[in-house]
Amino acid sequence: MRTLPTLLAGALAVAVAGFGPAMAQDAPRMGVVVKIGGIPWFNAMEVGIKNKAEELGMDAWMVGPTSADPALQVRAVEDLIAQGVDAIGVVPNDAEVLEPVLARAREQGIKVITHESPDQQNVDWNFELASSDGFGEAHAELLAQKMGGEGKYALYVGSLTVPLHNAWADAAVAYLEEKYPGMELVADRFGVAESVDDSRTTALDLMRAHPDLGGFLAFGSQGPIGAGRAVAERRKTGEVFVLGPFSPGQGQRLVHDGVITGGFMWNPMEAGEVFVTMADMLIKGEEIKEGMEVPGLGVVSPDEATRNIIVDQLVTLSVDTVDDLAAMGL
Amino acid sequence: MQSKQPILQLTHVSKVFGGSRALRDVAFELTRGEVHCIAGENGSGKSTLIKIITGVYTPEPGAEIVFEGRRFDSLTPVTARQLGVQVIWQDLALFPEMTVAENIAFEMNLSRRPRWVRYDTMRAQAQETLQRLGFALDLDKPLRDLTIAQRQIVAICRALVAEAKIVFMDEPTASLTQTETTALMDVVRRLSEQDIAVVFVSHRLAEVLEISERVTVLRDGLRVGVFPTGEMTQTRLTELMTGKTINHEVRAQDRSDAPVVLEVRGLSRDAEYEDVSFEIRRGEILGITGLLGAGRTELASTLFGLTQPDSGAIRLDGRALALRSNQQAIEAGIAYVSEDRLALGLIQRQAIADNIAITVLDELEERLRLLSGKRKSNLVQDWISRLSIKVDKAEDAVSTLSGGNQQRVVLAKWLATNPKVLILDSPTVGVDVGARAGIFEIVRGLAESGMAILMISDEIPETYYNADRILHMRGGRIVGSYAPVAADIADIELAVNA
Amino acid sequence: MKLDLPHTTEGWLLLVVVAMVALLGLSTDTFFTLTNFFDLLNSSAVNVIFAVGLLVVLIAGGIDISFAVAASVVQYLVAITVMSIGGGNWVVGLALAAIFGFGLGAINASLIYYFRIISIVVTIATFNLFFGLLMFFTRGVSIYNLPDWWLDRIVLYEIETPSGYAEITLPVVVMIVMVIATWLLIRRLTIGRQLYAMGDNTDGARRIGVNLAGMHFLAYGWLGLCAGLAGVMQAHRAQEVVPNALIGQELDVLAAVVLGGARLGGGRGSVFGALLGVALVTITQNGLNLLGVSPFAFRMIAGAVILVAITLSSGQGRSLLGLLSLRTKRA
Repeated sequence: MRTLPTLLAGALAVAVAGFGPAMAQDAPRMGVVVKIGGIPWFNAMEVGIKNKAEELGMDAWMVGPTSADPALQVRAVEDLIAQGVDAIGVVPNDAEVLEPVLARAREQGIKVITHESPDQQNVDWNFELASSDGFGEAHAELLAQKMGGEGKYALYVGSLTVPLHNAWADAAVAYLEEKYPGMELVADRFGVAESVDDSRTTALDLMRAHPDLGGFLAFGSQGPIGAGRAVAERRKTGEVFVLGPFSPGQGQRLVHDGVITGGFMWNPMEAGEVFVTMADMLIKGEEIKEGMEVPGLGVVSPDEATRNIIVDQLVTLSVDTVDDLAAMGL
Repeated sequence: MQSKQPILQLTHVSKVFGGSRALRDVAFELTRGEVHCIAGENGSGKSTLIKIITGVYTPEPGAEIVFEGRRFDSLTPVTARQLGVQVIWQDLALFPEMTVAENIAFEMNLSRRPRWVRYDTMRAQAQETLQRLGFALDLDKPLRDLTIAQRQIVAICRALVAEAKIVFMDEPTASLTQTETTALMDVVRRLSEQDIAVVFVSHRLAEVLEISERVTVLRDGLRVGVFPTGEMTQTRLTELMTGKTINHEVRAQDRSDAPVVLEVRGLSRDAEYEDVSFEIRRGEILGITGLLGAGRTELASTLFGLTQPDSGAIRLDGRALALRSNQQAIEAGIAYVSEDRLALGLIQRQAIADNIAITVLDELEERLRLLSGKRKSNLVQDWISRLSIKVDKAEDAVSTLSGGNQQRVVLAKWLATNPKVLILDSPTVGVDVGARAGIFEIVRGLAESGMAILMISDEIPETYYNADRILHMRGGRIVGSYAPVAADIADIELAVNA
Repeated sequence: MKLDLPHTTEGWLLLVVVAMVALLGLSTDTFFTLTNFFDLLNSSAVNVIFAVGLLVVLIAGGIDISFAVAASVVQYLVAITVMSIGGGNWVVGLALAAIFGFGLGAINASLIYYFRIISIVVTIATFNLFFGLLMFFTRGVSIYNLPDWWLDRIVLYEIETPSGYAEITLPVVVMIVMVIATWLLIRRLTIGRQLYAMGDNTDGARRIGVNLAGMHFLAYGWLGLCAGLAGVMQAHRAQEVVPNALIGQELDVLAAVVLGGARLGGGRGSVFGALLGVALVTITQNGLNLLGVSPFAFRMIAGAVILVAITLSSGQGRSLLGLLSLRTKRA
């Protein structure tokens, strides 16, 4: 069954391709299939895609499935192949499920680029705006600085089974152990950061169990929010620091109240732009090589074996940046 | 007996369902405080009549219902209740999780607008009502901890709280023991003393005649008549209900020449039965009678391998048996038609065919261990015709059959195992009077074909007219032995009820 | 040794909870603090409000798994309504939540009663329907800029202790009100007794003259109302409205209420039991955090605690224990 958004996207693409006055018949065409449509993160990505496409004279659009279902993504990619696009971008829900259909696309000469899928097979390139080590370490460093390099901290991940969150957490813990021996992790990581309520309750308990707790490092978008609320409730703002990636719009108030100290994220709008920039380069036959500077990625060192391009283009979340990011709808 | 003033008079009551007429111009009259019985076979219109009086059904136009002088064309459940008509349903309609007190006085919770619950008043009322009937129950006990008989008392008390003037009791003794039945009869008398009319529907004719003052007999939707029970006998009542003359004659034969099939010697089991010895010969029907609790059913359980005796011996065709399970008993050639047909004997929701075939599934298996559909349907059809079971389709659920036909299905199920010994425990419980004769005909036919039959029953006439010998059990022991050809039924009844 | 063992599910559960509280009190120096106690109250408030609502439906012989999603729907409806009328206040917000919640419950009630569909099927359907509509209309967008009255924390009682501020907040008050109201409904009001009757023996209740349609609306409406209030309280606590914030909660609450002695199938259950059920789950989580147990073991321990509690409080487990005590007596 075709989903409505896919159909609409397809129809829109046909309409734009057929009647768009500015679009030359031979403008390269690209579709980017994201995890799910309609959420702020991918809305921002869509803005990036559209802006960059206009700038480069490409015809690029985003396809957002109604739910985060790998099967819907496969269907969307099949549709794009049928439309004969020049490049396909994917933010996969499941790397393996997509492999056959991506292989088919490449057989037909379509360039394939993925994002947030470092183990992806059958791609021209996968790009990451943050390395798991870099992302974890950046947060760890910020936490250590805020806490003066010593004291107790607690660690959240979205759930104990999310590989990316755990990789960040591993990197952060390893970094602190090495650089700041005075920093002490109070317990194993807590898998609560996908729920504000659970993050909050756990934070309250932890502050009680460890009255001298100095900080929360929360990987998982709801973690900093929940921990922040708990710190505010316990009136420990400024005593207990809360760090981690979160939605700027959601955390805006807490950042201004000084409850959430900050964190890092990468910019989905930037990712959208990179999709189009890389597609443009690949379609034109430009090779991406070691030491090359790619707009949006900076100087890259592509891994030829794994087809990964990993950079650390982190965006700081702080009192100074949060409002602008929130204004983007993030 | 109280005043003869009528409380309820029904005339010209008819009811048509689809094309069939369930009631045809029936009249019914009830006086204040009277104990009245409605007798009739299944399908005679008894329950239709009750449902018209309780307002569940509307009679056809032309009916006249006069309640304490007030005329109605028909009643609704609400008006019937307001007039004081209460029904003790067979399933009692009580609330198992609630306390006795709340069950009795639940009526007080039925205000139209929400009110505070008055637990104290409820308790007081429940206590008072129980006292009126001369019973004591723990008011705070949850109902689920009560016996069926105690629950019945609760249901009756609830009717009293609702200020009943007429209480209908639908098969109230179906699941009661003898003692409990006697106690219930007392309650019915007390109700009657308090000017409450009791309408009794029961299959047990002995009860009907013992308790009620008058009996209205229905047959095929027509009223046969109203009779004072003083001049009524069981035989006469059966004839009125069925429209047939039933010949009661002693059919016992002396089988002492035939070879012994089942021999029991000195069988004992702690707290159940003691030193029981008897033998059944080929083609013989041995009746065991006695009051409930005499150890009859317990004895049957052991013979069927469900329990093991503490001491004593069982021999089948001369070979000693040590049964560890009913499976072994079936293999040895013993079949057991239990007293509780509804719970143990049949799977009510399953097809008639499946119920008949369940004991012989092994034999029906072919290679690859699949059930042979054809062999099964042959077997089922064979038994349906041999026992003249009235069925539409063998695939219908057993629950759609009448009591008599259900009993035939149970028989078919066990006969399919081709047993040497057939144990029948209370074979006519829940079976219409008219249908009983048919069951016994089958049983006698089986005996003629050489089967040894052990028939347990607390209805003495049943054993008297059908068994070749009768054993009397009391307190787990065999205390008497009679041959119907030589003994008078009255003597046996006297001995058993003593 | 003669032990007076409890007779009821609630009694056994109380024993388990008391044992756990004692254990935690001895093994940590933070469990028996006023702040911890108040925190437990604050953080179980939403679940308790759900639980007493669900209890009423279970007693009436039904089941509802759509209530947590219904609470999310109510959050959005209330947020949109108060913003469109220019802000509103607590009175308006709570009233709206109660009305919307009751309305959603009434949808369940009418489907179950008038179409004679069993409650689990209906509520699985409405669970999906409510959530689907919510996602469709909100496009998954959260609301962070709720009116100030909704966001500002209301502390009704506070005291500074050595272990920090101990506070009683608004959700606790709403919880207490709903607990008392539910208790009055099912124990003290005649209509509550009719609810029990319906759950206990539906046919019997019909024959004695209980208005079954009314009872359905009362039970599911009450749960809807509770869910609506719980939803508003959850948004107050989380300071935001997120479409999938409550999804999944229904099973936790259901487990807690059944643990507390409410019978699936109706007729049995008490407010006290439901409270104990929620308490057991909450205290387990709290204790694990305070004890510093590895989070990797959380689910294992929580599962084991629930199993022990349910085994003890069920008839089977009780007879097992009775058997054991008999053995020791003989020995």
